[in-house]
Amino acid sequence: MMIFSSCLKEKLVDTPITAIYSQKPSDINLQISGMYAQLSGFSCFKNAVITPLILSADNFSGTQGDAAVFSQKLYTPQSRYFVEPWNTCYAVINNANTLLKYLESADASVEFKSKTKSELQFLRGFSYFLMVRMFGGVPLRTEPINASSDFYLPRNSVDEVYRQVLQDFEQAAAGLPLYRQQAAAEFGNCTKGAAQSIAALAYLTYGNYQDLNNNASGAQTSYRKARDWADSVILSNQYRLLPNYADLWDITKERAAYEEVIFGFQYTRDPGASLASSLGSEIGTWTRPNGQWRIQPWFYDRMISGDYLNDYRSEVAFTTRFLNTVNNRITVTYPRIPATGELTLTQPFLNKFVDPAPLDNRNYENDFPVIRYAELLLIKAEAENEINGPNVAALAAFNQLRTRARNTNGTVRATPTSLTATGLTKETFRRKIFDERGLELVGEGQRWFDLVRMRAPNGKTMYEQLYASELLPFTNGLPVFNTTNRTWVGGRIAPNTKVAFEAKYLLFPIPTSEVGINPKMTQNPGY
Amino acid sequence: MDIGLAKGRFRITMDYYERQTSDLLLNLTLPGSTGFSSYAVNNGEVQNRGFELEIDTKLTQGKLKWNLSGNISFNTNKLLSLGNTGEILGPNYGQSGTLQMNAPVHVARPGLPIGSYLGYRIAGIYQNQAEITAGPTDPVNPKPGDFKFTDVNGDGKIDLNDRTIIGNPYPRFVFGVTNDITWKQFNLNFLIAGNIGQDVVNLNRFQLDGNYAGFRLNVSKDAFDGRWTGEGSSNRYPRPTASGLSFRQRFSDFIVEDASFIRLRTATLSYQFNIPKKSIFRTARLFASGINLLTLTKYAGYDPEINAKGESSLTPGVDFGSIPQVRSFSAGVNVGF
Repeated sequence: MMIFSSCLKEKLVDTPITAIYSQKPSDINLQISGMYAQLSGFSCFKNAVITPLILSADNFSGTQGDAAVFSQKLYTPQSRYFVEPWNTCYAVINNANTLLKYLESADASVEFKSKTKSELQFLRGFSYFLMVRMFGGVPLRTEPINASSDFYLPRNSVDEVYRQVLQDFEQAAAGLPLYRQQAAAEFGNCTKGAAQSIAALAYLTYGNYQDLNNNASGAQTSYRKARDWADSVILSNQYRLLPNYADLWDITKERAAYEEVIFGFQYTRDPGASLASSLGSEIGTWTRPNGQWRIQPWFYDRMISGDYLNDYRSEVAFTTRFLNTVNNRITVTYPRIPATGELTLTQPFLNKFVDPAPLDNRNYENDFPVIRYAELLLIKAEAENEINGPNVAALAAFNQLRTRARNTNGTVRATPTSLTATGLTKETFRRKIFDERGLELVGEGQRWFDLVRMRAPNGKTMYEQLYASELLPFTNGLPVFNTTNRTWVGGRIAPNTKVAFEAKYLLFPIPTSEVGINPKMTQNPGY
Repeated sequence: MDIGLAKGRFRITMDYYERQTSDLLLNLTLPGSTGFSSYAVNNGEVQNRGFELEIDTKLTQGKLKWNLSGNISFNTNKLLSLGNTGEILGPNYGQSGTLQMNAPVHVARPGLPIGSYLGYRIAGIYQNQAEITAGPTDPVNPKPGDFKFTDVNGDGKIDLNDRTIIGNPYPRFVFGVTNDITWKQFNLNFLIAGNIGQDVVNLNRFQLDGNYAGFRLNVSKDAFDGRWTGEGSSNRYPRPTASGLSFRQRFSDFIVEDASFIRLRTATLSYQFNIPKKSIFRTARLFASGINLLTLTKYAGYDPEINAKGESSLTPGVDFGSIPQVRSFSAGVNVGF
């Protein structure tokens, strides 16, 4: 038997096509919306990155599961809470690099291209800034990835990453609109004020890094820049402190809150999707009663005593009495004394991200503020203090927060009092700022950064100051209500969260989506 | 090679082959800093070398007719090279959801079968603090009752370099035997098949055997009954914990099992009726048969013959919630007109 066969010569498309089709503004805006969605999505600010940032700090503790892993410092490089933010940041960076490269050939006006370029630089700088604070030096990419790229880059130094971050934010600030001149359709996108504010924070953080690495002159230069950028926001008159601290957290007043919120991630109850893929936020589920992320009792004690005695902000930010919807009983937490018939729970809860009618437990209306005018004033005060000590300008900025706090809901209180320079040194004022940030910004994802960047008077980080010294006297264990004596007995710090200080905890581990796969990547020491 | 003997009652076929495949289509896992997770490349050369033997006999031919045919094949798979790339790690399992392992299982390493398992070795449980202090430095800070990971490269610490080859997804040999026995009007036909020597990664046990209560998932009875409760109580399963994933998100030989099996795949018993010539039927046959009747295996999961994510040549042999093959019975009548 004979079989004949023949074949036609087929032309196979062998090389990838790299031509980019002509882009119109509507296309580009869609892609940029996608980048905001990546940063605010489940793999970053909705869930994956806020978990380590809030729970690895000293003031929260997690009762079980992933929350407990972070508050007990048991995390590993494999954790999805590092993998996903890392991958998301680099996806945003690659998208920014790609659009930046092909922006010139887009079918759009010069003004649009200039504003878009700034927006892309903001998003890229934001991603690198998040990563350098969490992980240290990371590989820098400013060119889009294609088939001939080198996939395996080594880590750049912290200095190099900051150089890129600061350059991106400075150039972004130049081309973005002022908040009050932003087009209504672009509400929520970054503004000039957002770029300037984050530039100020980046310079401040970098200055702290330089100080901790014995580069005092470099640090002073950075602090001056931080102060100048903060001043430019203040002088621009685009933002103000809301008179009532509670209005920041009221979802019926969410739009108006952006007079103070300079940049935030916006979430909304999403009927079209549910749970993780919805456009809603979920931090409310974890932090509000009866969630797993709770306030450490020792921290709560500090936020209602000393400078903060009778501080309205504590009443707004925390809750110690609530209706437990599971058993329909009024429940109180430490340190409140229960009335007859009321049940008790050990720890207070955060009360900022409240939604009375979420669509499901990952579908809340609450936005997540990234930087507020209040924080900017504290950045100004901190930078000024690093340069000149607690002078008039520094105290004036700081005291605006105290004044606002006394204002409560219309009735003016006597506390918290404004600070005066009497008896205040650079070191003690820095500590005041640390504590003020602790109350003003509680639950907003800043605490862990403050711990690892700010210096205690002995020159070590605040993280070491707390974990190697200040936390030690607190009795291990949560408070228990003794019904005979009608007092709270027991400990003041969640069990297993008093983890002995190790230098490795000042950085998070590089995730395994990088370190196992990229042979040029080195892991952070200790992991 | 074909051999026939004894007037066609006995036939043997033997084959030896060596096949080299180049320019494999592989999914190269990319580091996160590229902004991408994987990239399809043509890379690599794989060699498959093997021997197959097939035997066909009519054992008996009298009143009891017994035809037996069987085959056995041996194959070794070896990755020859990956071009310029050193080795490629497979995709991460458990990147989200409750598995919480987020580590690769497979590796494509030249000189080894493609898709070999790469992981840590577990050498029991730390019974007391003295053992921990005497052991290698482990950044996860183990306590008494936790798994003892082996310092494979002997450098005094546990890290990614202590991963080693801990299993082979490919069988040493596979075989099948078909029997067809006819006696008067009865016929019994059954097929036995088996794969011997392969390892399967029982990823279900990563969740079930760690005695970890964090996600409120089930724990296997063996793991709970055999948990560590104090010095000397157990050297296999760790202490229960509500935080701190016991396996430390490391893929290890603890969940790699020998999945060799011998299976009675099908069996059919039938009776052929003698039909008188004038009847409207030509043939009539009554039968009862079963599929997947019996499996002999040491594998602890539901079915050793699985393959989750089997779409890639790089990722064979992982059991994660794979649905086992069903056992079914049927009976009926075949009628011919």
